[in-house]
Amino acid sequence: MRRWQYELERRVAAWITVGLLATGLPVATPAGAEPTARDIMEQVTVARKLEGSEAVVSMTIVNPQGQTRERRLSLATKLYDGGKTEKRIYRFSAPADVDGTGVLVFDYEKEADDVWVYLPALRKTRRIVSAQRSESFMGSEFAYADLNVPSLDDYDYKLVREESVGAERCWVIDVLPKTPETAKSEGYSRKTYWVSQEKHVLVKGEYFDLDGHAFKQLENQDFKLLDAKRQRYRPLRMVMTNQQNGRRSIFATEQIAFTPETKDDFFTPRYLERP
Amino acid sequence: MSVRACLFIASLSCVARSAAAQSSDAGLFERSQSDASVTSSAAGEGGVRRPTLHGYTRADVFAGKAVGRSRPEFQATYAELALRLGIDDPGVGDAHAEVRVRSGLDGVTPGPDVDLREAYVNLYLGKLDLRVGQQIIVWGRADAFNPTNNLTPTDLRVRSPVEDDRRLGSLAARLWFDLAPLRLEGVWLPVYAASEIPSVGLPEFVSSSEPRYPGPALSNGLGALRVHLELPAIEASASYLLGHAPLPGLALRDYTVGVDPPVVRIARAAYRQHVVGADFSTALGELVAIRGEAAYRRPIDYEDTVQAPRPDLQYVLGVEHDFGPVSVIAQYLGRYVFDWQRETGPAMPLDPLTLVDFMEPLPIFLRDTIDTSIEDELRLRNQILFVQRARVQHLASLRVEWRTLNDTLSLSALGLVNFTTREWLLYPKVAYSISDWMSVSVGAELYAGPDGSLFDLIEDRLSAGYAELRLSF
Repeated sequence: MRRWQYELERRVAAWITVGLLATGLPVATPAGAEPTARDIMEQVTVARKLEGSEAVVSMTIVNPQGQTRERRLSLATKLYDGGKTEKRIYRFSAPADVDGTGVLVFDYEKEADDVWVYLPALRKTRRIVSAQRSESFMGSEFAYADLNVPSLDDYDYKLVREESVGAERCWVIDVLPKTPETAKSEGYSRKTYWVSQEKHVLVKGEYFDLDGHAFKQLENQDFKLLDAKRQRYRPLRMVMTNQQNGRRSIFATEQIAFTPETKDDFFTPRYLERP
Repeated sequence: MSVRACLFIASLSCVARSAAAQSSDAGLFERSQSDASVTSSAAGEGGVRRPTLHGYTRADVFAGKAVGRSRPEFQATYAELALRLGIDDPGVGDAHAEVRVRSGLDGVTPGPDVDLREAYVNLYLGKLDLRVGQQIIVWGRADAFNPTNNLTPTDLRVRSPVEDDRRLGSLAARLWFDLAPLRLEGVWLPVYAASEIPSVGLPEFVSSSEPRYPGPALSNGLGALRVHLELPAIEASASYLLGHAPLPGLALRDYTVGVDPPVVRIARAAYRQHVVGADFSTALGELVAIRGEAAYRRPIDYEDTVQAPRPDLQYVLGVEHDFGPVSVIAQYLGRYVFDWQRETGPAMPLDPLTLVDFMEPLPIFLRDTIDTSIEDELRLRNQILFVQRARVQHLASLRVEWRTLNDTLSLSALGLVNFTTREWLLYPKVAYSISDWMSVSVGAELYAGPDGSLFDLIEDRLSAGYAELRLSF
């Protein structure tokens, strides 16, 4: 089993975190006060957390000629430590060379994640470390940076305007890395997010390369209310289009359940090693 | 069957039924791993558990030097079908089996070959997991070279671009007991199965005879225990093993005298050993993963067992880091041999004519002389086989992989250098995914070493370039 597959699995975790688990909470601002861009992004970050979930998802990569490649996996997530730690487990079923591969992630609020990968070809669990954030995730148009939860303090935020995307009224926020190092690490000089004012999830994103040219565009669609009590939504379909090479990558959630009682046993090396 | 055994089985059944009842509410995550229908958007919450069937068909060709000559020759060319069947009862247990059917020249068997590589059943009983059947067990956290991995055998004669294909299944019972953050693991292998290596040239009057392997007696089984410590920041384990080593040595079987030509028969012979091991892995933030592993093995009665190595301590310390799309695993490996002495072979090499010229019964002093001469030669060969030609050895391994072209092209290499014995191996490989299901790979397996070293002896038979076309399903 190859190293790129390690990265695949652990970064799917991050993708799920940002994309599929993106949820909404009311933005906490004084009555009548307009929220700041930072307020909005903080709430998007906090609200992304779901007590527990289980899902079956697929990723389809489409090249400019219309040829496709597909990856499939199932996953479970659960919050611990009062929401400061999110544990996730993933199990891949396709394509054939990653079938049976499992990934266990302990995602901490401030520390580096702990990540283990079970590779059927090695027949054992391995602890791994992070990859560079600007790298492509699994050959898709999603970079690892797109899938990770970034540190809020690494960026400046600017509320540009309000506008609608389809039926969603959105805040439009420019996200600017504070340092050249941050920009280089994720490969973007600027990002613009459209955040739903009702659901507090990303509806759309535009990404600009280090030269300032339009690079990629993200569209989140088919939002599903998973936790009615906390008004938390998840986009069931995410499409990232590379405007420079014409390729598209589509994450589709085929089934999903809000499961706050997800078994703790899932998040152990013992379970990871089960076939 | 004894009353006690019946009671045990009855209680096991009760626990299993209880676990089954609890599993009836198996969630989406569990069901999705066993039931293909769950991955279909049309599936309902109560998806039926269907068997899964995966596998591949591949065609491989290995070409290297003809043994003892400089011209190129096919070493292996074959087609293979692999079928992997899985049946799952979420939360209760599952069963898995893999059958491989191979036809062609594969360097191991001359004709079509059917191999039940694995066939085992898992039973999950709360904190206890049990696996019984034909299975492959791999221990150790280091990359590729694992001193603590002394359970199921390998077959180095197997020609395949996939390292895992050299592992062989054995009949075994394996259990885990969860005491988080500790986890106990026990392994029992009731039937001995030997590792295989390429045959190396024997003198003209020496032949191989039936191996001397332990029979399927209870006392001949291999038992092993391992305690895992699994914390978020670090995981480690300590293990102990008692049983026959997978890789047998060479021993004298018998010889004939008074006939022309003379015959000396040697046999591969197993030996028992104690192995105490430990390993760990951790990470320094997002910088590197660190892994270490060590094992002390002590063959039983090694002084009087010609086929056994001397006690030794093997240790590995490695780091893994990514440089963008390039991942690198670098390791230092060492070996210290206790009670070491350099085997030099017989002081008076056996002259085959000596055997022709005598008749049974041989005088005791003469038989002792012949026995000693042959066994000294075997000790030399075993010391080469067990990689104990120096008291202290220093080695390094490096694995590099670069993924590019949207992760469809992989350029990788695994190398090992023994600085002490000046042996080395290199496995370069290029693999391209033509589609999600079809791939092609080309590469090489190269061995080299000074005259008389292990890699020198196997170089003719194993050094080769290869190409493979595979379709997985």
